[in-house]
Amino acid sequence: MTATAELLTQILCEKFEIDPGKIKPEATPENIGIDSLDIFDVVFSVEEALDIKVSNDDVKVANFQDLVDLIDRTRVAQGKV
Amino acid sequence: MTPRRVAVTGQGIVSPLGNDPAAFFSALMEGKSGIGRLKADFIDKLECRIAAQVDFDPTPYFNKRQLSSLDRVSQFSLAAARQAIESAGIDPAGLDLPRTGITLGTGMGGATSLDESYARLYRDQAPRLNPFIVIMAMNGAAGSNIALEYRLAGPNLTYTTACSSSSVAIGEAFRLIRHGYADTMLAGGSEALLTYGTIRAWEALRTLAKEDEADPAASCKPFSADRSGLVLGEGAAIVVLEEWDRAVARGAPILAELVGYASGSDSTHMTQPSVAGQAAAMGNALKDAGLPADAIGYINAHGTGTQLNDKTETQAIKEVFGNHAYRLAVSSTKSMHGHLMGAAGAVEFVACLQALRQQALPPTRNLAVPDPECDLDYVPNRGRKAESLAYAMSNSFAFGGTSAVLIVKRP
Repeated sequence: MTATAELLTQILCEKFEIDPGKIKPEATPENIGIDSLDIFDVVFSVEEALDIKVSNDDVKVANFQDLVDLIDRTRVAQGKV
Repeated sequence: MTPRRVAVTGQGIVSPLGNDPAAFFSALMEGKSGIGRLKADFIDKLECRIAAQVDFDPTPYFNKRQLSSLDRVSQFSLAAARQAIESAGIDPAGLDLPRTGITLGTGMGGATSLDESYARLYRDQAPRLNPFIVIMAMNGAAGSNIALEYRLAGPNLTYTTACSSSSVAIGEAFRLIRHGYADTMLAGGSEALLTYGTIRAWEALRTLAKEDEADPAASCKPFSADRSGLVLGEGAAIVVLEEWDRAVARGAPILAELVGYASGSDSTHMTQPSVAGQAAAMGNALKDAGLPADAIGYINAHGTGTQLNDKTETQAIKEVFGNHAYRLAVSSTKSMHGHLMGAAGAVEFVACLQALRQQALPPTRNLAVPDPECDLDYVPNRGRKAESLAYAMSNSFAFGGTSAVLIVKRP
């Protein structure tokens, strides 16, 4: 698991008391047990943790890996790697 | 359709005097005060440092996930609703959902969430806010969370008429059942407004009580000549109302029959109460119940502890009840649980239910100095047994002018 995936897993588990076993790259938000507002909540927490800014329009994720990729892309684009 | 009778079959409470109805009423009868120095990290910045706070740990009720999107006001309303459903002996799985609804009163809704998020925005220059903030802070959240929990499909209505909000909510639920729009209603109020911003706003209005320096718990002094204002409180109360025959058929524990309700508008001044408006509401509630004035044995007064309210309410009671005004018992339990604003009427309605059931009259605490303009029997300082109490009236009068009066009958 990459550092970003680990951070996201940690935030998800802490915030929503999710079983870490449910968090896999291909897991959809539904599989994980979160909704679209929860995803924004997670993104905001990641923004604070990494000092990045994700555009609301970019938050379109079909599964956990999409979320990891979104954060990684943003970090690279904003020089916060 | 002939108007249907309405039973009160369940009750739940989160209050500054305990988080179940029996404990709450025992505390009232013992003259305990839930008022004291506010426990908050911003207390040093306040002029008014007293409040009626609830001792409430949400963790046994909600998991972390739920808590992340529940303002304190919804935590209170859900806790009270669960108690009410349980005490009514209702199995949620057996509810006729399209015929079951919720009406809730609240004054300030999710004040905590709003206050905290604005502090982040204005003070901390936060780039953006918690995505749940709107659904936590909106006034309808405390009721909608109850509807969601039980999947209710009947009416889901929130009333915001300041201090009379929850009496309006209970009264309107009564009408929904009475006239056939629902069979079972959860009804009540919830308020959690003890935030820095809200308290400062109330300070500015200059209606808050001065702290009794010798005894902060005695700061709210309704009907006493030395009264200096109201004390802000928080909490919730929810009752279960059911169509009478249905309640009897399922063997429900019938706490009381709700027999009368009236609401009206003073429309004279935003904050000053009116004798005519208050008297009209009490008179119309009696008419609604089909009762003569002398049927009422106890009034749980609005009794805020402001100079103006208490003498106005006293005068209005005299106007409606004539000589009987001197024979019936009137008390302000706000002297002990504070003014719960949008939840006040519901909490005081629970006090009326308990008074009927236990045949006991809760006192007006801190009534030390007689006021010639307040000359009724306010059950001063000591609760006492009632003598065959059959009907109790609960008064709620609000800033903005909306009055609401409920009448309950011993079953």
